[in-house]
Amino acid sequence: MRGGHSRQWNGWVSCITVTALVCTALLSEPTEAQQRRPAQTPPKSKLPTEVNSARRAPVAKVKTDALAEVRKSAARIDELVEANYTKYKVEPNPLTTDEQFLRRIYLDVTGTIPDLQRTRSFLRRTDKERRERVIDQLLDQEGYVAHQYNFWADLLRLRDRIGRLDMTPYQNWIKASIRTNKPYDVMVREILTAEGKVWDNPATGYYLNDPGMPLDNMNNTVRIFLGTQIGCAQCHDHPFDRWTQKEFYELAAFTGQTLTQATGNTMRSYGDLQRTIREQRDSAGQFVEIAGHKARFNTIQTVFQTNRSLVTDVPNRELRLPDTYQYDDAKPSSVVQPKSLFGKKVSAAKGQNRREIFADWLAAPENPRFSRAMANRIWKQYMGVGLIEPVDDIRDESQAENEPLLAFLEQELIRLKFDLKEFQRIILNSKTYQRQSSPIELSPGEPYHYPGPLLRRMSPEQVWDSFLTLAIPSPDAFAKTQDPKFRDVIDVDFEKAKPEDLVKKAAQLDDEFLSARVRNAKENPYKYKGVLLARAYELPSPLPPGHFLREFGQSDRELIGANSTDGSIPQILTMLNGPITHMLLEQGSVMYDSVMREKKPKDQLDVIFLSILNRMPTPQEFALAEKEIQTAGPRGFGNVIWALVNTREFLFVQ
Amino acid sequence: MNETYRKLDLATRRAFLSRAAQTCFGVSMLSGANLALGAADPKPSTAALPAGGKAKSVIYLFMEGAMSHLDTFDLKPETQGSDTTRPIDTKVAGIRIAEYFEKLAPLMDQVALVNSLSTATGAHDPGRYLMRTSYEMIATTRHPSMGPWAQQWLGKRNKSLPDSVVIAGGSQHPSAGYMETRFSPLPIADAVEGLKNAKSPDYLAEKDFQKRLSLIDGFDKNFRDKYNHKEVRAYSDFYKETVDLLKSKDLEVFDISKEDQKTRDAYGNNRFGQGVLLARRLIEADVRFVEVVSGGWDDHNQIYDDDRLPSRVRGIDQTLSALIADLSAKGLLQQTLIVVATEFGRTPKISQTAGRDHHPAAFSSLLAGGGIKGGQVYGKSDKDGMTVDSDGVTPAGLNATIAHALGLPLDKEFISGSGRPFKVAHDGKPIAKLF
Repeated sequence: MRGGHSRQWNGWVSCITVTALVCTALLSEPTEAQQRRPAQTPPKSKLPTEVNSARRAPVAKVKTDALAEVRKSAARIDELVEANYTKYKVEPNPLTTDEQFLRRIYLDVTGTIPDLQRTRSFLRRTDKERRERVIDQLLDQEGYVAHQYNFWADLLRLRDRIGRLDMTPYQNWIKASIRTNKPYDVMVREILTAEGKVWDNPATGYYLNDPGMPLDNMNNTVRIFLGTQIGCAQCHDHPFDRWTQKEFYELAAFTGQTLTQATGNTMRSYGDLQRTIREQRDSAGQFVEIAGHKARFNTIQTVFQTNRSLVTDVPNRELRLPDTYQYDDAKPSSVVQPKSLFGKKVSAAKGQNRREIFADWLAAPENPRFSRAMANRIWKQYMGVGLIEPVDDIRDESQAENEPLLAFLEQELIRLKFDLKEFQRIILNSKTYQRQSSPIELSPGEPYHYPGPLLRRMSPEQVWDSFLTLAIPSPDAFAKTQDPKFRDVIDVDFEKAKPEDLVKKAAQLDDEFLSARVRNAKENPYKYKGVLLARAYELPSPLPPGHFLREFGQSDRELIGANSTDGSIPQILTMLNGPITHMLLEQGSVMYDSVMREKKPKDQLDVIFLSILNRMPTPQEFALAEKEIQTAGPRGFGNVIWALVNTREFLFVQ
Repeated sequence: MNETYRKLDLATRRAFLSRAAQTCFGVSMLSGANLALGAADPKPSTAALPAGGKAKSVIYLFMEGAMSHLDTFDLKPETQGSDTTRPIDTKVAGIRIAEYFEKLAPLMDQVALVNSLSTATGAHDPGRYLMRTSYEMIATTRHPSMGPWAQQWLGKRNKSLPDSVVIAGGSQHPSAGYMETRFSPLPIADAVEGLKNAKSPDYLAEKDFQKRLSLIDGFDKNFRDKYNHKEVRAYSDFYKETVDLLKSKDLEVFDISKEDQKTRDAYGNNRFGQGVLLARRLIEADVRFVEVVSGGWDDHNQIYDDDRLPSRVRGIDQTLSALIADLSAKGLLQQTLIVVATEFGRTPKISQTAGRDHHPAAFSSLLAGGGIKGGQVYGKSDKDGMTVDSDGVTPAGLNATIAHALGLPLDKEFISGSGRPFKVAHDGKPIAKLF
């Protein structure tokens, strides 16, 4: 396969021109040497291969002894769903084939299509338990963390920076909570009661995400964790739901003593330090020099803002109604006492920790919407549409499509003590989930009785991560981390610090952590044509507009649940002409190497179909592909690959 | 995508809507102001509506995050005190705007302000949605923004380019709503990069590209036949639209590097400035509706520190005045409507964190060109800028004004896929005095 294949690859994508461009920039070997090398071990184009995932902690495993329970609960789901088939005369979809199931389960649990080897090994299996086993196996993998994190990142609007405050500790805390399978109620409780600085208690990131906006934050809390919209009542009685403005304020009073910024003496010292620093700014306003130390003014501001940001409670602080309050049940500007919204009536006496009481009320099995909202969200994640829609606007009068089913799912969450992994394991094992996607199109407002999951376009992250699976050998290699030393350098006690300490710290920060040089040293080994090839959950957030993920609809993290799966012209252009699609056609990519490993055109075509669509080609498809290879010669392989990733079948989850 | 699969029945939704319309506007009624019930304006102006239709294009500038009316177009020096924004005189006697608008002030005779807007919601996403579509955000459908409406009633201006473009918009733009995919505005993420990936890789000859496209068709046929879904079809449409666009001889209008440096500097060397410059290039090439988004207006904290808010408003001043001057010089101002819009205003009272919070009961907008009579302020807020005192305008009213300037039929119904009738601007009344 020497000379001939060498030509073959050249012809495939005119590889010499394409890789030469890449190689001159990124390869250490000279390009000419590469061209001379025999193609038997094709020269790797510089796709990332380094692995440092050892830094991630192990992923919590499913409860192997719970299988009988899982089967029982899954069967109960099916029973409840089937009751509605009878009631509404719905014909259920057939069960998925192994090929369909495999692709869907990988996408739904690990956020990416399976690679060639895993596809082959699953499709060879004939044991009866193969589906159960692969579900368990996937739930135990880091991919589960990645995919779940993307769900949370959209919901919680996870951002790398709030102003100048680095939020990496919070993001990593969310990842760790998923990785260790922390019970959902515990996680929420930790979020709602957190205090301190983000590197000391990363769960504070939830409040720090909405600095100085306690009312908006409360609105978000109720929407995210209770699936209820009370936002309208922030300004006036809710027009469509029953909430009054007073009730909104009473609920908000639970966090009415909570600030996202330091107070008292700390802020007085902060003010003094700021004054000195500002006085010492050079004429251009760029640098500050004190006692022989020099640093950028902006970096010093990062030190200031970062240390000013913390979650703290001020016991004597009271929330008041707005001075424009218009209703008769209270006076404008009067003090509001905390009171729960529904379910158990709770309030807080003087001296009691209000947020503890609030968290106890919210994240409790007795709260009528806590488990309901989450069960409904997760059901939607796998079935494409919630039992109640919209999932974040549940009302008293909301009717679930299948109330007994939703009630059962809620009970299961509670029975499992909010173990989300076991809960998802049950849904994934149901026949309902394992049915084929519905070929019919649902009209807006039309009820859906779950003859199978809805056809869905892949999420932006699923598209991206699937491309990585096709392209790079170790897509999990890059992890977004924060050096623990960062905390030691940036942490300041304003009451003890002298101005020159701040300057010194800022200089050290720039030198060791914040400069482009430092960042590039960390990221460059994982870059391809300037694009960081890391799984979506390890990429910056929000990504800049125009990034592949943004083109495919990833949220800008401004609004809750803002991911979109709509198409657009720039998205298609990305697919047709962008670097990510073409990466697959290059030497060194997983796709390329897998095809290369086969000798017969038939096997090569099978590999292409198995890798991209995770199924064998139909006879017609095979004929079409074969004809393409025959007429176009070797570059036909490139055309077939390119065409397959551009099909709707690739982009949609069946 | 599954936004559409929402399950409240129509009648319930309609009931909600009408109730919403009544109660939600209670926001603005907290002062007892004579404001709108329903999406339409309160009392249709008795003045006859002069003819519109002079605008061939619209450049719609959206200040995302909610721009403070009190620090831009509706200053209240008597109640705001001296440590906030100060007003300056403009070319038009009696009209004063924020001190940051040094370049816009001399152009005031070409610009109209609306200082009596109010809206139904103080939350960002529903607020933006209402401004862009004139309809409340509801679960059972998604409404189109103004660009798709214009294309629906007037057809495409340039056959080979999209009729509307959104520059730097977020992932939640309502886009074409329930209209077909071909009405969707083209999103451009970053004006400097223009239309990315518009060029095929060098190795790929045109005929190979065509062959690849037909291969996609061949491989995808089974799937498309099986799943004849709107979303699947939408993708097929986008592929077609994209391939058509790639053939357009006007592709280079997306490339702002074709502009000389002086012009680029004049618009401001920042995302928004370059976005507006791209917008101008696009309307020159007969794109009808271009929206440019400016982000970061959610000023809750320390707004005057480090020149935060002032520098952002100065940026708008530079870009807006450059655009007006540029369009005038090219003789395009009379056929191009410029609108500055935002989702709501900000509280007159400075908050404990030295910022301003959300305030839907009063806010401002600016219009220029496209047949708008400049040098006037329409509507008035009260002495604090708290609520609307006279000539209230709703988001639907503002959109009706835009629609009228474009010559769109305000009463013509469009029947959506689910069989419901909708109108551009949702029965809002155009502001007659502006024409």
